[in-house]
Amino acid sequence: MVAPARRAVLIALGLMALTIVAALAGRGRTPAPEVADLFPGGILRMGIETSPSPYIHLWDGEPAGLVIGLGQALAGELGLTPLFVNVSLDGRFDALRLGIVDLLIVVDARQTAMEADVLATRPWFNAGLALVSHEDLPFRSMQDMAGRSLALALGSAADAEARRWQRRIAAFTVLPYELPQHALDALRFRVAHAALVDALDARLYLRQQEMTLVMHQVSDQHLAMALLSDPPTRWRVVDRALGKLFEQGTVARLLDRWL
Amino acid sequence: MMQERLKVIARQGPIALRLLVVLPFLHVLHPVEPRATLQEPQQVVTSLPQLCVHTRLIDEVLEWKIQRSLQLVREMGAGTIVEFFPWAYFETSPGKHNWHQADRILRHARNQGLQVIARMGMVPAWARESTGQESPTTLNTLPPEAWDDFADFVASFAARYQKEVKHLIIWNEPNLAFEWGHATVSPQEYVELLSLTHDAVRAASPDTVLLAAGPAPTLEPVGSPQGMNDLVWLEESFAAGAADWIDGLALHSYGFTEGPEAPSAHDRLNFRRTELQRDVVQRHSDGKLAFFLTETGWNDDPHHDLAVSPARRIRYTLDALRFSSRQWPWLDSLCLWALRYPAPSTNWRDGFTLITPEFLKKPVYHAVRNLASGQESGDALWLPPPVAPS
Repeated sequence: MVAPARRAVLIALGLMALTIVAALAGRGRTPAPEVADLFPGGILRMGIETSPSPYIHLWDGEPAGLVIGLGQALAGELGLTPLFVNVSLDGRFDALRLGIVDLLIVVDARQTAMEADVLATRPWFNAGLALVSHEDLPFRSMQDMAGRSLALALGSAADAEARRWQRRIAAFTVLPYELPQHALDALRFRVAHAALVDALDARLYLRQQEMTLVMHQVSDQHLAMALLSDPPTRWRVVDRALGKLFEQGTVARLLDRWL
Repeated sequence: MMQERLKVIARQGPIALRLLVVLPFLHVLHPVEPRATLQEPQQVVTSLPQLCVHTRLIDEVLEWKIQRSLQLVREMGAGTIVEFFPWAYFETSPGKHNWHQADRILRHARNQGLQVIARMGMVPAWARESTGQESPTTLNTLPPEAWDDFADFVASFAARYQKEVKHLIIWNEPNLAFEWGHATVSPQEYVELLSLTHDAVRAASPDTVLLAAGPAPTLEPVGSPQGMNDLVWLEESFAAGAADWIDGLALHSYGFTEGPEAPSAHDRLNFRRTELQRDVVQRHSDGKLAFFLTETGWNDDPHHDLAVSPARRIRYTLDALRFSSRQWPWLDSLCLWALRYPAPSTNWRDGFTLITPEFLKKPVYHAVRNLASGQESGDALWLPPPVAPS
């Protein structure tokens, strides 16, 4: 299964343009000798899928978004020129093995455990489920929900999680809506005591609302980068660079900008 | 004092001895997995004879999970499954077969009264390396030197399971570079592979129905390294004589963000692209080929551009089943991708399943089952959007 080609072509063209801009911006910077050996040509080839949003947006026809920003920042930290390469979900680990890309930017860290020759970096975002509630009546965990009402999107991961909770704690009322935004509206209008949505939806909603809502993550989905385990130095260099982006506040700034 | 101690030792000694005897057997006290004994043979009862579902049982370790999955297929009202039987799993060295996992799956499918369409593919290491070259390969790399070996494997499978498996799909989405070992895709090469496989299977099991693999629905432009437009692929493969070597087609078409009745067009991907694919085939054949839609459905991942909400997925899936029953009498089976994965994919692919790996039935499963059993309640499954207090 492949995404419609027109969009992929637009994104590919945009990514090429970005590469040229990044190359011009990066002129004069040279990677450390160790990095230069690991990434011949001074290029960091990063595999991305064109579809998932909001990690990658088409912004005025140009690819932008959290993943693009993160890739650019990483390449900058390493003194390399970023090159984004479209890879399919099915073929992305093969793309690593065949040397088509140096790393994958967005991988659920649990997935690398199933690939013997792939390692995940430290995670850069936790996209797990979040329990959202009012600041004046906060709920932080499953146990808090007994006897309360919980809004969620029907059939979503939150729906499945709530059914797990129903087996473990005293009864609570589930209010299923068509969309996570409706579940969050139900919370905002105090139709529900809390809403269970994923961290992305929670962050995007909370930034739009003036009301004081708070979120507590109740499950983990750690997103990380992935590289081949051999050579291990390449993984170390990239993981260390990502660590520096955290220390410098770059990752937090990117998350705040896009989510 | 010493005497007291000796008395204690004398009292406790037999207990210690007994413990020593018991200790070696403690390891058997781990929880026992449920048994998967065969029950009375079952039959599928359904009002949707086209309903079929793609399963992913081949990687399931525990037999009771295979059995449970197939029970849920039957209870949903699907009479057919599509399952992948990878060559790499069954022939790990040339000529030596281990059919254990296929035996388990097919035994339980038969017990549940299910038809099985088997998809063949995935190349064992020894066959990938048959060129003698050291360039990296993938599990989909099938060098021409190994085509005869692949055909022999398919023939062995067909002969062994001629009672359990009537339909075989040769390969998967061969119009994608990924599925063709990241090599340049070639309809002509694929047709050559079909002809070799056809001859081997006909000799081993004359009644087996051979289906050409469904090309992935894609609008890839000419010369794309990712693959070839599915309609162009069908044109070229039938121009190369595909119809001579097959009995039918396994088509793939997903709904993406459009409803099932949205009209098809050459520059759009949606459910009814199936009609365009069939048109190409009909033009190039005598009209006797059978059609199976072996992969279709909607994804409900919350953050994928080509997905819909779970609620909309339910509506589209039910509408697609109704539409197909009404408008596509030529379609043998409509197979939803996918029933359940053995483990979470932890990516947007999980948005295609009907049941979670831990056997939680998603609302879409219940909705399909209710439609197939004629028990649709008509009640809304979700609440209307909340309204701001006045």
